[in-house]
Amino acid sequence: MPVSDADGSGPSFKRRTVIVDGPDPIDQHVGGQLRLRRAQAGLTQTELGAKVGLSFQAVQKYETGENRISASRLYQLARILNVSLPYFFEGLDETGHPEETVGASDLTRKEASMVLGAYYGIKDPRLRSACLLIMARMAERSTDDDV
Amino acid sequence: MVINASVRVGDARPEIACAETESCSYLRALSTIEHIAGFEHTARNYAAAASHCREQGCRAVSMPDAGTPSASPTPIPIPVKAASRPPRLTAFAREAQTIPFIRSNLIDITSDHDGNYVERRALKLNSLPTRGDPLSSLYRYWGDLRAAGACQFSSIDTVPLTRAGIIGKLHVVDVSSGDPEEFRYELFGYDVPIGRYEAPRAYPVAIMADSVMRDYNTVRLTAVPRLHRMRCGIGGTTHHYTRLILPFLDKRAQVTRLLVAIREEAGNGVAVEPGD
Repeated sequence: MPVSDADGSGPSFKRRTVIVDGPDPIDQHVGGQLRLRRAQAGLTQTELGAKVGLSFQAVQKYETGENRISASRLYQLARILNVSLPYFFEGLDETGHPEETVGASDLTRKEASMVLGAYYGIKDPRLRSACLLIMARMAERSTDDDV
Repeated sequence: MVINASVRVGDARPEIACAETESCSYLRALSTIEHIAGFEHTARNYAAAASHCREQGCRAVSMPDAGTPSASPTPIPIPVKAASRPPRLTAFAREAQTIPFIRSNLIDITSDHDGNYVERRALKLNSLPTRGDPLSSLYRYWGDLRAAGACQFSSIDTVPLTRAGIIGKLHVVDVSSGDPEEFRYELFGYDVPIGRYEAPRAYPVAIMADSVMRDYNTVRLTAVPRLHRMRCGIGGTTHHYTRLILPFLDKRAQVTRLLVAIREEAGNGVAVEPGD
């Protein structure tokens, strides 16, 4: 991560350590993607570790970002998990921070879930359509008002 | 990115309860476990997948099976040798506590004036079947973690839990407080038909709450797993189940979380017969 360019020589990079600074956010993100994909593939940490010659603790440390994954290992993992290398960096913005998505917000999730629940709670399909129409009109009007 | 349907690895679906207002309970439970274990990234993805179920179809699938849990596990018979009526536990002390000594070959019975009762028998962990049982799969997994010195909740991997087919029957209990009255459920199994509570003390029947808090506290203090066969008559309904309580440590090697797994037994959910 760039620290400062006070001396005018451009951004410098401070060496960070897991013990002092905690895991690097990019390593954490890559580890999170690894964990997600491993779970999707239905592999336990032990099974994935066996495929790459590692213990399950080592896989665990990759997943938490505590240990950094080397390029060769990442390539190996991508092949085993049948994903492309960019997959591990999906969701990172240009500065290397995880992108905030609207859908990830707890509040939004809860609200969306409640709306869906209420909508499907209406058993009459005609009433459901009517509600949808009303909501669509209100949304249009809201946009117009905003403008 | 959300769970990708193209990576489905099995056809059989796990027991999933899709509540109208809460989307997919199965994926939400996985999300909660990941969140508690500290994996926010995976937790967010599971939660997002859960909320997309209605639009794009269910995304949850069974993982490839290692132990093939049976659909209806054979109940382990309880040999009735004797019955004792231990004194009812009241409020727990906030300081040092003694652990009530309970002989494992006895059934403890407590009852109240409303006709509710709790029968509890401690079973030996080696009485679990070696294969084909969700509780034994879970216990083996926990044993592997312990053997590797990784018995922290942050070490948990949801894949073995999924394979055991036990996600809906799992509670995660926060026991970081020394006071059992303050134990709380971080996850309450959505498929456990005894109600849904935020804390053990919230059970509506005091003898049930006391029994649960006592057992959780015993595991917290001893860090030793416990297996119980429970048969309770609560509010006119019989609850019959086997319960496995597994301790998990924090970084200071203190038991701060319990994983509680429930296996329903024959006769669960039926009405209490008069004179039972």
